Amino acid sequence: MFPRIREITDAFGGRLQVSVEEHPSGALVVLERPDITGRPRIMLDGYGVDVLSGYIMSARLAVPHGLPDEHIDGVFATRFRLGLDPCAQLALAQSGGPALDIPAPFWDRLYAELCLVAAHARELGRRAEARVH
Amino acid sequence: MGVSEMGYGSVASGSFTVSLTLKVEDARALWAAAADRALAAPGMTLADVLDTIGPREDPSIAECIAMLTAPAALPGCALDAYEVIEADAGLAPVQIIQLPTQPVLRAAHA
Repeated sequence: MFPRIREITDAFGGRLQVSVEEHPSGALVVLERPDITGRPRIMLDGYGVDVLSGYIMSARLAVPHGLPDEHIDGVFATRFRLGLDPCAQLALAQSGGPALDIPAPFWDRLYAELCLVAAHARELGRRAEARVH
Repeated sequence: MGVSEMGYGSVASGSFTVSLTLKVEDARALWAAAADRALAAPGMTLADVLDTIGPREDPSIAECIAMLTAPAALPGCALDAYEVIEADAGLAPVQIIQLPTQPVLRAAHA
C-alpha cells in the first residue's frame, strides 16, 4: 500500500508528485517537482501536511492580496510563503535545499490530495505508536 | 509422484536447499502461535516478544513465520543459511497515479 504516490499535472506540463510512506515517527510525506531542474523536494510529517493544507486554503482566499509566512519547526522545519509576482504560487523552503514552488493551478487538486494524505499519515502515526507501546 | 520414483542420492555430502512456500491467511492466528513459541523460551518476557514479532494488531509477519519455521538442528548437517522472504517484496513497481488539474471546471464556475 505504501509508498502511495500521486502526480498532479497541469495543461502546460507542470508536474507535482505527492507521496506518503512509512517512517519510524509515523509517516513521511514528500512533495517533489520532477519537471523542474534539480527536482526540488520537500519532506513533511503529518504536522507539516496539516499546515500546508491550511496555508493553501488561506492563500486561495487571500489572492490577489498577500499572506504572512508560516513556519513549522521540528525534524521537517519548513517555511511556507505566498508569492504574487509574476504569478500566484506557494514557495516551500527547508534548510539545505532549493525552494519548491507550487503554482496556483495546482492548489485545488493538492488540497484535496492532502486531505487523503493526512488521513494516511494519521493512521501510520497510530501504527507507529502501537509498535512503541 | 510415487515413492518408487523418489531418488536417493548416492553422495555422502553436499549442499541442499529445502524450500517452503506458504500463504498467510490469518495473521492473528500466526502471531498467537509465534507468541506462544517465543514465550516458551527461558527468560522471555512479553516485551521481548513484542519487540521481536510486533504487536498482535500489527504483526511482523516475516518474524512470526521465522519464529515458527526456523529449523532445529539436523543430525549430521550444518545449517548454512535460513531466511524468510516475502514474495515480490520490494520488487513491484511503485504505481504513480496521474491527477490532471481541471481548468475546464474552474472556468464553468467562474
